[in-house]
Amino acid sequence: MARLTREQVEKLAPDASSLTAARKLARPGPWSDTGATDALLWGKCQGSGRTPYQVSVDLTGPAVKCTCPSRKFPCKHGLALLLLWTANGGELASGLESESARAAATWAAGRAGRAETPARSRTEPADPAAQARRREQRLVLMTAGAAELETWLGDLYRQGLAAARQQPYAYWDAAAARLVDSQLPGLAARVRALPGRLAGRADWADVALTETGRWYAAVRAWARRDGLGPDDQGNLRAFVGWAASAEEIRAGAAAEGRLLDDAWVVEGAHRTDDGRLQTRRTWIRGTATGERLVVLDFAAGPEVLAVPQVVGSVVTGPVVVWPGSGVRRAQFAGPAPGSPAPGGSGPARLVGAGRFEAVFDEAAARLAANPFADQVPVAVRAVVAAGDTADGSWVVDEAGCRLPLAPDVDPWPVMARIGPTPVPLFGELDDGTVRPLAAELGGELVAL
Amino acid sequence: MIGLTWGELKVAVTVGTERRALPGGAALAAALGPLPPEQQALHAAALLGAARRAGLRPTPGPPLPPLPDDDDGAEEMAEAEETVAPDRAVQLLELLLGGNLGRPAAVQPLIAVWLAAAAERAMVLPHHLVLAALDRATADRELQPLVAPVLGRRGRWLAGCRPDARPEWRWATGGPARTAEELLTLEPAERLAVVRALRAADPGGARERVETLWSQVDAPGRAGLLGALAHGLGPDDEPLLERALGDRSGPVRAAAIRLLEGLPGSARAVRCADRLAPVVRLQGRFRPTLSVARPAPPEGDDRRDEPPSSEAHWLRTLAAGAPLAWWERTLGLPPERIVGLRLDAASGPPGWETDVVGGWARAASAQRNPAWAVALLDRPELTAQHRLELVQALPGPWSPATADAVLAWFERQTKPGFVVDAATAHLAAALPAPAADRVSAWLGRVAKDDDPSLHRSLRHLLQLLSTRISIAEAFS
Repeated sequence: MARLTREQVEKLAPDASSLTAARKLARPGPWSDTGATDALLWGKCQGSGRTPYQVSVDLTGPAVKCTCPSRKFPCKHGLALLLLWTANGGELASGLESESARAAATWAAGRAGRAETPARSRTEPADPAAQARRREQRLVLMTAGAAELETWLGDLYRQGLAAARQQPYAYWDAAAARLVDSQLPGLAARVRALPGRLAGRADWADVALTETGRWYAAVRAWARRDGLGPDDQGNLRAFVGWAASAEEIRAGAAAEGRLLDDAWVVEGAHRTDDGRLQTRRTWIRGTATGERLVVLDFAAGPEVLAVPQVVGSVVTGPVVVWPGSGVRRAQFAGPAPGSPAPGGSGPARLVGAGRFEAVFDEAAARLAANPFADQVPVAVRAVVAAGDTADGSWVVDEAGCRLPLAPDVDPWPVMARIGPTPVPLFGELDDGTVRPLAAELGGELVAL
Repeated sequence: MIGLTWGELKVAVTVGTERRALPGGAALAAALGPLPPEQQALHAAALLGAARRAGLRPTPGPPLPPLPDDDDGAEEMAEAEETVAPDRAVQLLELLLGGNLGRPAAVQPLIAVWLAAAAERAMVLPHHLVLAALDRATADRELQPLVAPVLGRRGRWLAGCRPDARPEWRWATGGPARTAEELLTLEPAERLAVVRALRAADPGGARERVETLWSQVDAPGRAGLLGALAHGLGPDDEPLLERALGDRSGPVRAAAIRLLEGLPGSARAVRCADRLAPVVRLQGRFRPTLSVARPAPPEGDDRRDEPPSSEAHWLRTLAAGAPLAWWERTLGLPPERIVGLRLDAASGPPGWETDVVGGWARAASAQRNPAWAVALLDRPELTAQHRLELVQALPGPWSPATADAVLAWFERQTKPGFVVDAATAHLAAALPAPAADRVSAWLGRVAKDDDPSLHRSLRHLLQLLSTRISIAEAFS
């Protein structure tokens, strides 16, 4: 296995402050019981508490496990252990026989077991009749929930969006709760989020009308879903929150042509955390196929997200693609995702970054193919221009054409990185705004 | 498409379809079938909304402005010529700016050391630290003259690209290019910030701007401008300061005197020494005693050399203003012997000893004289605060002898934890590398439970010292 370099380890950091904290810990002082094999690192790190944290790193992932309460992932302790290991030339002092080593080995074995679960479940299928029954029950619930939402939307439109806007959050939460009961969690999350999206926006009526129109489209499409092709069904299922599981997707992927083998450039990643669920979107593009796909990772509650792919790296191997169109979801199918491409591929580049006018046809085609998609990837040669207020900033291409910068992005750090001259930018088109995720700087694609 | 525009639909649905009918009823019914109005509206929202999303177009605007001095790619070439600080150094600055090594006040001198080291080698900040450096120096004025020279093109561009949105960065936007006329148009605080930044890059240029502005700004403005010259003070500044001694405004005269005290070669320093000469006497051969008689009170032209409201302390003013070398010459003794002299209380006005020792302390700080400062640390006339100021006024790096003397003084204190804590930041910037061994040995002698605050302060000091040594190595 290729050894991780310090640069690669640093790129695993979820943010700059984690990295600085990790560098501070990347010295022998706070560590005890450290050790390393070809595949595993372990050690105990003395934090602020009395009991040191048990830190384990599975280098095949790489995956990190730490007993600290941080929700950053990987946490500073995991990063620090990796940094210490790279600084020591791939060695860590002390032996294999310690409590820490056993804890790491147990965890790694459990991980390997989980990774193999889908294979086992294929060989020992559950009772097919019971499965079919459960599926039938769920469909009945969902159909009833969709019909209820249609009625609710009719009331909403009769009484007017202005009246609905005056309603407290509880009004939307109640509607969302009924959708959860109907096993339509995707729609539920959208209903719950809408009042927050409208707050303080001058164009709130446009947002509300567009969003409720999409819910209605989903409701109508659900009623006719048997007449839809597999891709449209996939788009719809993702929107209502009934996406096929990774196991279902793997089954038959090769036969249905949903297994794509390529060298994938990791073009950008974005993480959100709404308090209930952490979500990460990682955008990848096949160097041979040119396909731009999105890899989704979720972690609920105290779970931690998998170690991110490094933006700007090239990952080779097959991915399994969900049925869908426009913006397609994928998952790495290979045995060891994260292994760098064989040498000679050169630095990862951004392909097709042009003016907005030139890249918008592609974006429009994606949204036309899948109106249920929320974010669409765009590559554009542009700069970021700060506005007078926090949310008045723009992404501007060479010709001066501009789109608003996503309101969750602070323009100044991005401007410091990009400078005054347009550079190839990768980002997401989201709700009429652009969220820059990566840029080609000095000939290298780096996360922003 | 369906005989209804997005705007019409929006108006109807905002108000509610039971209050406002959808326009174009017949066309809608033809397109969608006979449906209740709210269902027609929902259909229309789904269709038009999807079309609008897919049909999103960028807003046209003016093309990007060409870059300043951007002819034949000169800008890009110049950027390529800039040398960014080495990786290891950049990591250290990330730690310092990121708050990992202590509060901003505690690490400020180390940040200053880093910035000075980079400037000395004509290196610049990496792009990703430009913003943090701008913000830190905006909050801490003392760092501004040090940050300005290492911002590089990217930093200067960022600071100046939206002066309306970030006026607080005005200090960083290419001070050298500003004429005195342009400076006059700025708010006083911004003007001072620009002059301070200019002073760091071009001391003479900054002084010329101050001279041009002198007659056109009010008294607080003049006092502020003099303050901006404190950094990089030199003999060339004397004519301006000498003129300022005759200013109508007390604060302006006080500012000029403060600066002239740092120029022991100035005419004012000679005048102070000349007034002291007749009243200072050394008596006794085996146990020499210093006696100082009351100097002649200031009259006429002398008044220029007297700071406002200090009539009771003329002697202190003279002792602070005279060159320390004059005392050594006049008395024929080295600093530590002079400071150790017995003072004859009866020889002069009541309390003259406090005035003379206080004057020496001010002179030692202003003239940055380590031998005098170290010798004065044990004089009982000085308060603890005065002594700390003496230590803090000594510019680093200290010689091994100075470092030893200062550390020995710290070790003699009854509550060393307090003074070490107060001086940690300065000690970390000024102590020479070998002094770390002495600090480390001291830490070894301090039991953690006996004096937890000293233990903590010394540990922090050691950490900062090792960081400073790392900075030096990273730039070497």
